[in-house]
Amino acid sequence: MKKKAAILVVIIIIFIFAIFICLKNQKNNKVKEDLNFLDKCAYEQVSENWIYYFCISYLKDENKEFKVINEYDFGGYDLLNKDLSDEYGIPVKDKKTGEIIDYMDVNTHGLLYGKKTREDTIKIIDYFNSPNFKQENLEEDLKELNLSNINENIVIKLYNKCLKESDITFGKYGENPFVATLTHEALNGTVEVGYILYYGNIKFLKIDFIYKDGNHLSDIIKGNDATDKQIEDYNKILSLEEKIVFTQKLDLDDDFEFNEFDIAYLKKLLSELIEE
Amino acid sequence: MFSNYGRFVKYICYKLTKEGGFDMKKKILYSVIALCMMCIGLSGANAWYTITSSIAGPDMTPGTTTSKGKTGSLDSAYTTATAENTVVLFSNLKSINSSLVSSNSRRMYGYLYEYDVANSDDHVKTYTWTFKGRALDSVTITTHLTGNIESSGDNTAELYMKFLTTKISGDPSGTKTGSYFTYAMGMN
Repeated sequence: MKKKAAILVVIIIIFIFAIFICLKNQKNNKVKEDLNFLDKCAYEQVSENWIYYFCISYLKDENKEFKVINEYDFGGYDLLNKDLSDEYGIPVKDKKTGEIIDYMDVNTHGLLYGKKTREDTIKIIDYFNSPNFKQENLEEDLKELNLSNINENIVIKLYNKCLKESDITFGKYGENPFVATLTHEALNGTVEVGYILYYGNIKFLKIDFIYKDGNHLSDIIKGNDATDKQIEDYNKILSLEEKIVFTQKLDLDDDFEFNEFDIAYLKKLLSELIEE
Repeated sequence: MFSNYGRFVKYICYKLTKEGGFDMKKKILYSVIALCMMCIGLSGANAWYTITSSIAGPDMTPGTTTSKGKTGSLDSAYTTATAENTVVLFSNLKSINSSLVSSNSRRMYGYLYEYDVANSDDHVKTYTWTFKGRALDSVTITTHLTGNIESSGDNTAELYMKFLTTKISGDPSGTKTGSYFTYAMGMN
């Protein structure tokens, strides 16, 4: 009798678990089925800090195929907000005077927000989305934009790469901003994570540790002063970044320990930064 | 005065710890600002006299205006609270949810109101945001009222915000924007 009761309890637990999984998948499937657009993007890490991208957004045509180009987008982000060579913010204008009266803080430094790169970025985006855009004149037209701080060759490279991108499946992280950065205080410094999504999939994820003196672990490694423990941590970070992007899972193994900070801070940070 | 001023310094300290990030330049800048503000405060003059703590932007359904947000009861340094002395600071600006269509035509509107117990609430300002793709691009402030927003001699304004992110054809039904900014309301 007791054995039968135990079996019944196990069956009920499995049943409840199965319903939970079905409901969770239903939510994800609902998002995928409802999507009326397809994004194709090409990315390039142009420097240690910067990832540039070019995206084409497609809508469905009358045959329900993603053939109608909705929009072009170009940009770049410094996922760890390390590049201090520019100032970043969104300009605030007064409608009456048309003057810029302030700048507002952004979460992740981007080409669109840099005082040196904003104008170029807007010129590029507006050009591609204008009736004047013709693929055969691309090189010539970009030269005529007279870009000051963005190399038109990287734009051309990314655009051509984007045209060759295959369709991908919408990922499980779609209900998050497509780029974000977050920090979490640890005992002896700060853990920082930044990511870029591609159609709901984590495309890039960067992790770093910032000591209380402001130095980044990723910068210390480049010098000759890094300790063995710091080198070990840095290599673990690189492995972890690759693993997360490859598996699309944010679970951290319990035996994945760092010397410079408690992994609990990183786990908490990831759970706050990206929702599944 | 010191308790209200303390709230402003607390805001700056908050900026230092979280939203200022660990960009050393920003840390130094905000520390200097806090120090200057403390000196100015002691001399009797103030920038933002009172300000709310940072409020998370709402998780919005595109096409639907949000209900009334958190109300801040804010004192002006002047005898009567006026429209010109209201301020809204946005920070931690991100992009909208990746499940929504990328569109340069999308807009986000932030409507600043002053609560009026006797009449309709005053619509003081509108913050109109543009997008590039899914990322916020620029903001323009339109001030709808001038002069007093409270009775003469009443320097306390009760401010709140409502928001609207426009819907673009192709946005999946039922999908929300996510909370993609934080804001604080203040009075000079």
